[in-house]
This record gives sequence, structure tokens and C-alpha cells, in this order.
Amino acid sequence: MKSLPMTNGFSFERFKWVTYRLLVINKKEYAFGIGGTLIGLYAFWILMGVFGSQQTLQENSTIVLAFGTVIYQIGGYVLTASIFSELQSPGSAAQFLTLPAKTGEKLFSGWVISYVLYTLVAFLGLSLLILVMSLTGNLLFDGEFQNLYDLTKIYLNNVVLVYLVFNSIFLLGAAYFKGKNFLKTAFSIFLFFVFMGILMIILSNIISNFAGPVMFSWSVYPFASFESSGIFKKLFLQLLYVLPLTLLFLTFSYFRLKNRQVA
Amino acid sequence: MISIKNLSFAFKKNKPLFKDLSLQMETSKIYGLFGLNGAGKTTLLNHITGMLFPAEGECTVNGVTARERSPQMLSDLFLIPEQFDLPSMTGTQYTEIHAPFYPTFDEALFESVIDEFKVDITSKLQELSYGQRKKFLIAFALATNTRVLLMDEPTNGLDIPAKSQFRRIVASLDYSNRCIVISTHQVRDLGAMIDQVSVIKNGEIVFNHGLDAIQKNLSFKKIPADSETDYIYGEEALGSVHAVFRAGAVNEHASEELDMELLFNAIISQTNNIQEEFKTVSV
Repeated sequence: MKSLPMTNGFSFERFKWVTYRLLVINKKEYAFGIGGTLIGLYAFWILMGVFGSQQTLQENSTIVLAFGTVIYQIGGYVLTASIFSELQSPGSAAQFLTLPAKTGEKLFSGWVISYVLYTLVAFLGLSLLILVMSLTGNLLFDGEFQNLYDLTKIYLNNVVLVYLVFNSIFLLGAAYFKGKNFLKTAFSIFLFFVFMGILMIILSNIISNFAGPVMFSWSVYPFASFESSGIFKKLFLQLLYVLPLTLLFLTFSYFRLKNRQVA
Repeated sequence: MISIKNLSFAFKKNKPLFKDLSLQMETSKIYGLFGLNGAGKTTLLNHITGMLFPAEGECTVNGVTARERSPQMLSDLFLIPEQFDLPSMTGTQYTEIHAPFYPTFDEALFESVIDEFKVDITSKLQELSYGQRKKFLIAFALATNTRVLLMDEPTNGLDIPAKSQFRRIVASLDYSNRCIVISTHQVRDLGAMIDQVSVIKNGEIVFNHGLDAIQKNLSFKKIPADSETDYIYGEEALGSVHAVFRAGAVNEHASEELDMELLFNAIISQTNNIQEEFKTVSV
């Protein structure tokens, strides 16, 4: 039987094994989530074709694709929030906490599965869906083959980068909360934005008392100001914005997981 | 091997569970960790595994601070919790995935214990009964060959034949380099396996002695209810008293075998008197 190195430093071999273990434990949720969504989207696309108005297949596909990326994000957050589901009951927490691996290896496995693998599989699935839509579109509807593949219309890199930040927040929620992790994390994010909103109103009132009217601009879509830049410059600017935030939340998650005790 | 020094701990908002608790556990021994419900047996095991952190004091395993949960320490320690959930996978898959984390895992031992317990490891673990799952976990735990093996109520949920199988298997283990800790209420089931008795009461270890010291200092005997012989602790049963005496207090008849349940009850209800008998004994 295979034996893993039991050094106290980070071991890539052990990390791969922890990832494999976490993947086996979570595979059902991920398979049902991604598979179910793709089937649902395909059914939705057919229904749009049958009952829809004058929209073309191309337009219907773009709607389905945009809808798919929204589900990719929300579904991803739900799955990320439960990636360390073993921690949620004292009966299974021992399995996770006493597993001979570094906390960093456990956290990194959770991130690789919930971000890297999930994103790859989800977009591979979406691409497959588009291929199936392209291949079956002519059979089901107008008899002509159309390439419906047009991911550029959904700002793919933006979706993936926004997901990168929020995924790390939900990973923190997975390590922090002891049940209903998705709802609690989502509610915490909501409270954070409410708090920031109130803070801005108070600040603008205070500042305007001294320096006249103040206008804060707040965008939920954080990359709007980068849109006019060139593709590499835009990506660089986006990463400057996204990576520190992601690393910050991953660091919080690490310390939370390291100090996590059995319920 | 396991060293707990001046451990203090309280669950939030509750009164302290441990106050300055100290305990040393060495290799080549099977420790019986006893205590009333809520005394903190499971909590103590959770401290040893690093799943709970002391408010004060320190707990080390093989010289490593338990709360660090270092891979090296954890690969040489295994806990069978009283309540446990196993992941949704077959027994074979569980073993394939988890055994590599334990460098001393003995596949042959695992298979022989699984055969003895008659557990179907090709079935999904979650589809097995609680008792079968427990047998599987016991087999896996024994096969890890870790130097520290902690078992919290290991025979809870086992059927009667399985309890004796468990005793037989543990008795056949080579534990010359291992420290086995069994926390249990089932002193009648497991008493015969234990080398060292450790009792927690009111947040402290009030008793921690080996069988030799116990037999040297105490006697166990059934005497008539109207007997005038002085005893430390006794329990009346059908016109007689099953009692714990100072060694040598019952000269007329040989002392009976050590009764673990009676000893535990004596320690709990006559703590000071029992401790007095062991004053000169080093732990």
C-alpha cells in the first residue's frame, strides 16, 4: 500500500492525496450540481426555442450561457461553503482535523477543488452544452447548422475573477461557520455591504459639512473602469484588484482552519 | 509519550471542566480512563488529539504540542471517537485513501480483524449498521499501528460476540511500543484488558495507578452483611457486602480478583480514603 511522506513541512505528495480525498468526499455534490445545471440549461434552451418569441437560436444560446455563468457563480458558492462539510458535526470533524496533513494542504485542496477544478469542469461543461446546442439546433429547429459558441459575450474572464474573490470568502465561511455555511456567509457579505453603505452615507454627511457636497461612486461590478484598457493591461489591473483580496481571505481561512476546534 | 501538564479548560459560559489537570501516559500500557458522565473523558481525548485547545497548560504527544496538529504527530496517533460519521464511500475505498497517511499501516492485520469481525468492506460505509461501522473503524485503527491509540467507548454498539472478539484482538496486539487509552463506562467489559486505571473527577485526575499497585494496596472481597470487618467501600448485594479493603485487612481468606467496577465506585465515592492508601505509591 502507498505510504505518504510524514514530514512537518508542506508536502506536494500529501497535498495531492488530501485533494483526492476531499474530491471523493464531495464528488457527488459537484457531479449532481454541474450535471443537473447543464441538463436544466439545455432543457431551458429547448423550451425557449419552442415557446420563445422571435429571438434567434444564437440569442437564446447567449441567454442560456449568461444564465449558466450566473449559476456557475452561485452554485460554486454553495458548493464552496460546504467543501469542509466534515467540520460541521463533531462525529465527522475528527476525521478531518486528525487527518495527518498540514492545515495549508487541507485549505489549498479545498481551494483547488472549489475554484480551479470547479471552474475548469463548469466551463468545459458549458462548452459541451454549446456544442450540443449547436449540433442539435439544426435538428430541433431550423434545419441549418449554426455555431453557437460565443463565450466572449459573457465577459468570461470577469466572471472567473469575480468568482475568485467571492470563492475565497465562501471558503472562509466553510472554515468558520458550524452549519448553514452558505446562508451565513451570504448574510455576512450582505451585512458588510449594508455596513459599508451606511458608513459612506455617514462619511459623506460629515465631509460635506466641512467641504461641501461629496459624491461617492460605488460599483458592484468592480472592473467597469478597466473595460477601456487593452486586454493585458486590463487583466493586470483586474488581478491587482482581485489577488490581494483573494490572498487576504485565504489567509483568514487558513488561520480559522488552523485554530478550528471540535464542536 | 502523552504528557498533560496543568491543563485548565472550560467550554464557553460553563464552569471549568479541568483545573490544573496533569497526567503522564507511557508506552507498553493500556490505560483505562474512567469517570462519571460529564467528567470530561471525551474532552481529555480531544485535547490529546489537538482537537481542543487548553485555556492554560499544555498537552504534548511524543514531545509535540498537540494543538499544533502536525502531520508527524497525527500520523502516529489514532482516535476512535464514541460518535463518528464516516464519509460516503466503501470500506475498501476508505482504506485506500486513508491508510497512506499512516506509514506503519499493517494491511494483513487489517484484513484479519475485518475477517474476524465479518465486516463487508465492499459495501458503502453509510449503508452499514452502527455496530458494523464501529467494527470497521476499530479494524482500521488497530491496523494503523500508531504509537498512540485512543478509544472512546470502543465497545458501545458492539454485539456480545464482537465485544469478546474485540478483547481477544486487543489482548493479542503487540503494544510494547504503544500507548493505548480506553475511555469507557463498560468497566465490566474491558476491565480485564487494562494495565493502568486513571479516574477523572471534578476536573482532576484523582487516581492513576497500575494494577500491581492496586493489588498491593487494596483487596476485594465479599463478606457477610453482618460482618464487623472495616472496609473502605462496600456495596450490599443479597445479604452480603462486596467490599474494598486495605490490603491485609481480610486475612482469613484470600482476596478475590480485582473488581474494576467496585474499584471505580470506591474511587468516586471515597476519593480521599482511596488516595490515602496510595500515598506512598509513585505513579
